[in-house]
Amino acid sequence: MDPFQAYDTAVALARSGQDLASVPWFRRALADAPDQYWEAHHDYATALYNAAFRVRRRHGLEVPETRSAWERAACMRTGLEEFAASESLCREPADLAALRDRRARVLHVWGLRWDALAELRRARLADPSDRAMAVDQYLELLHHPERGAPPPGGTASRHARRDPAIGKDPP
Amino acid sequence: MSRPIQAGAGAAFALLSALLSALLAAGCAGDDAGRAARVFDPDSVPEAFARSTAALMWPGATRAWQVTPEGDLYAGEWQVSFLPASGPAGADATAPAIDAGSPQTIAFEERWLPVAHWRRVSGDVRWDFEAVALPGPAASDTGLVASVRVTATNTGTVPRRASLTAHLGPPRAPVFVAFDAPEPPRAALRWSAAVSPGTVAGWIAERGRPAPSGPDAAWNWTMAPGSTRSLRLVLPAYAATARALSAWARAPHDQRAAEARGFWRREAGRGARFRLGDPEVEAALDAARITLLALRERRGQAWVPIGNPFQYRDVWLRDGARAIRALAVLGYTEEARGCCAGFEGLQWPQGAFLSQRGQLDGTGQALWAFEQALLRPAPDDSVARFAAAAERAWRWIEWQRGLGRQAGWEFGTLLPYGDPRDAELVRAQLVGNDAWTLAGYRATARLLAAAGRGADAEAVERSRAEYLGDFMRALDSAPARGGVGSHDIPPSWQGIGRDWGNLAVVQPCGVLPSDDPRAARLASRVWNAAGGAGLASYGPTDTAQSYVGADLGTWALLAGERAAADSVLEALLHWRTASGGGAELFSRASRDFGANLPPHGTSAAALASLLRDALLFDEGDTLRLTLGARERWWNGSRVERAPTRWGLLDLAFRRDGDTAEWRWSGVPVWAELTLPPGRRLAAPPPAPLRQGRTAAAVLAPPGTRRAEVKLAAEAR
Repeated sequence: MDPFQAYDTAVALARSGQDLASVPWFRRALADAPDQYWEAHHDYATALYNAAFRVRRRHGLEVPETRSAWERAACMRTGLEEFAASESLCREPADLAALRDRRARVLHVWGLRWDALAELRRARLADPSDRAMAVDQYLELLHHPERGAPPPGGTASRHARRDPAIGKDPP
Repeated sequence: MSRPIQAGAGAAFALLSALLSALLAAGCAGDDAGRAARVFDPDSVPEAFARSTAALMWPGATRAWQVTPEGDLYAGEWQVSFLPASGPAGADATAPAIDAGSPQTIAFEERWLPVAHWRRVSGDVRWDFEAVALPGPAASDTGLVASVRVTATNTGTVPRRASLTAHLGPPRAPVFVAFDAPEPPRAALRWSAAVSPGTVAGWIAERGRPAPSGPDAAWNWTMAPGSTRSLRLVLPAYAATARALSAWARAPHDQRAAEARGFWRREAGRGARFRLGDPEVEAALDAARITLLALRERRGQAWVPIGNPFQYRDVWLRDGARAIRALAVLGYTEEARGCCAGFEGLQWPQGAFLSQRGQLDGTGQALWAFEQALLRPAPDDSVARFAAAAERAWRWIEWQRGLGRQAGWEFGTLLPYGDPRDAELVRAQLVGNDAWTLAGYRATARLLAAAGRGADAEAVERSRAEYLGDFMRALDSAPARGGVGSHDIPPSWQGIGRDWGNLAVVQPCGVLPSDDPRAARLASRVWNAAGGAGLASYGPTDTAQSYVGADLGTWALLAGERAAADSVLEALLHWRTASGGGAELFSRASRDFGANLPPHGTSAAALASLLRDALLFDEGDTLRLTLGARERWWNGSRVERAPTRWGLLDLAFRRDGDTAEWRWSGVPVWAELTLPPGRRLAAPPPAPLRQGRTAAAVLAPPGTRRAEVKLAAEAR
């Protein structure tokens, strides 16, 4: 199977919620074409992020799809590496900003607030158009967590050239 | 409820009964028949909870067998249900049978040794179950197999018919499921009694028995008064081939039970020994050892501590760190360090240690666990590797504190808000996160120093002093802000949330000294809410939490609040199953743990740590001995091979009339010796001893190996 077919299979699996099943296909795709497409690294990272939160019903109980936190941490470590690989290949400022937005969201969801803020700031550096507000809102949330605020991410994510729509809010 | 017995003609049973009686009279009883032997009575073992349950576990196994309160067995995929019944024999054989009720108690031998016993009764027939679990035929670490022996005894004065059905089926209303259980569940579950193709869920170890065709295996006996019948089943936690189970079952049940006893006795015996002359406490400690050793899974070459064998078969830094510390101080150095290696897998690229989202205390807890395990009884060869990991974590925290400093906010230099969805159950900046991080800083400095990186260790210590200053300023200003715990130690800097990480601020985090009045006020507030010293409540007053308040017990030891400390220990000892395990949460009124099945690893860790600290406390620059030794222990106790920061230590202590004596391995630091309860010094301590920080303690200079003082009764 060529890397494009492997990639298409991986994305199809990820889109259908089978994130863990998509992982070997992403690996296969990236093994043969590691440095060509930032989108592949981004989608792999997103699938790993989703896998860490995916739950399923077994015997009537809702349980994590991954075995334990140890495997979820491994997913996130690899996912962050893939985000970094994706960023190193991305050339369009809007795409780069969207990538950093996504990474900020991942870090935020896991509770790494200052890391998320740093990513938002980096996103603004890549594409200053509409991210100042996102950074300010996040700073407000950090300062006053009791007031609540929207999750990080600028509206520029809609400009991403490829959005496989497999990112999701955690359960 | 009753149902008819499925059995053959009455005449045949009468004949069989007569034959059996003749055999018994001739003394030819075998495994299948015999006079009632003296058996372990599980119902004589104390059980704290309204429903009894037990876990048959093994280190590294990925499933464990639960003996359910109904007396069935479940390992996360299918359930083995037992349906014992009995009824009249002979002419009345068509009368309805009496089903056996649920067992009263599911007990381990000596309330710790994992040989499970439970008893069910149907009329005159008593059904005794005995089960052990051992590694099975599979080559991998998944192969746990239970050997179960069921013995029926006719305790009546007339013959009885007895029947037993063992049914394989899906679990009824399960509260946990194995992570790798197939979904949808396996359709065909079957027994086997002969080698056959395919996999089976159970093996019937009876020669010549025809294999049941489906999920039910049934036995029907007519039993003479006083006679017994027994059968043996072999239950794999994963479906296995009949051939493999047949081979495993060649060793008879008694042999398997002996193997299990031998293994666990060796395991319990190879750690530090606590010979206190107090069987209940020693058994509780052995139960804690077994729980901690069994609640580990492999990840490659490393191990990870898991929360519980059933519904918490997962990894939490906050629980695993406690388990590692308990294993370390109990003398399971290799096991504790193996789990530290597993924790390395939870470090993120930034340096953070995170197991669950929003739980920012994990970084400090991981570093603390490393230090606890790697520096006792002497620094491990791997200390440089762990020091480097700790340094990465420290740099990540310092980077955050720098950003917070730039922001200039109140609490900006403390950890950002967390939303742990657990514990404090609030979105806020949690005091416990900072306390644990400060503990992590201290641990990092110690690890770096042990790795020969003295300058780096000093840099970490300096940063800790600054961080501690920020912490204290936030704490000092808490009363002005108001909110929960504002006059003691609040759960969050915003003054909201449930008490959790703030209970660890004095111990084990070492952020505040034990004589800080805020610590006493915190303990008072928490214990008043729970109705007295002992276990803390979590949320509603009726909901007792078995371990979260245990750190207050250690605080009480250090603060000289001996009775309060002992109340915590007593509560941990009391609230245990007949198999020795503690539940995490339960109702005080109904004594029910609901779906939160025992045993919980952190409950075991809390008991072990508190008990050890009551005898040997080595977290500071002074070795503290017998801080919480009970009166009974002063009849003469010994602690052997206990890992401390100054090497392996032996301790003996005794009170003989008005004389207290301690003997211990010499250490290069001062030792503080706490007097027996209710006693004071009759005279100033003889040189080189000195009066300690309280009237109940004396100090011995470094290198001392023996001390003796004269006692007088404490004024009431």
